[in-house]
Amino acid sequence: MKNRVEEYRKLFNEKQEDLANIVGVSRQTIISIEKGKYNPSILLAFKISKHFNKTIEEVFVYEEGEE
Amino acid sequence: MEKKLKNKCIIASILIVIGVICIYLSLNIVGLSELQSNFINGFGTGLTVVSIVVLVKFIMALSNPEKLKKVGIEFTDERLKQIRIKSMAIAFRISLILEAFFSILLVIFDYKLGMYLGLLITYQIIVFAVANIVISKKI
Repeated sequence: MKNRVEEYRKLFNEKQEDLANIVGVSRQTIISIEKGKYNPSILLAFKISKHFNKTIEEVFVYEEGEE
Repeated sequence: MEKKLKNKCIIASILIVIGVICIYLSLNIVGLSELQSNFINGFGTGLTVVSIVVLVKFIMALSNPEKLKKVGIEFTDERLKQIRIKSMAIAFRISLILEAFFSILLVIFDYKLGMYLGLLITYQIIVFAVANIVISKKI
């Protein structure tokens, strides 16, 4: 799933580790999310979006046909 | 998280005691063959050493808030949980296949051993089926 996590993180001038600590996951999980290798649970997606003051749809982009 | 870690420290301590008991029994039970004695000794030693390492890690985490947070994330991080679950599923499948293969092979050379392995496979499948039913009712 495409997402704008890296874009918003840089906008907030945060490191991956900072974001990981805030939402309660490992830095490796944030890296995997930003690369699109791992799709977060709805709870984690909500936490990340809320941190950026955005809606889930603004941060995570769902495209038709995605499995 | 602190409470969970304290519980894990208790479990690690119990495992250390079990490991030490195994080592003691391997050296003091009369009538054991060398192979049996070495097996029990090795099992006990491995269990004791690993449990000590884990216990020390948890005690250090409990005394340091930064380390406590890091260790906590290792348990709660959803990606790591998913990796663990998928790894266990793959290990279970491969183990079943290998056990079935060796069970059939062993039956040819040693019927009892092959039969016991077959029974072990049956128990694993029963446990899997029961766990599946219980979990599907919960979620």
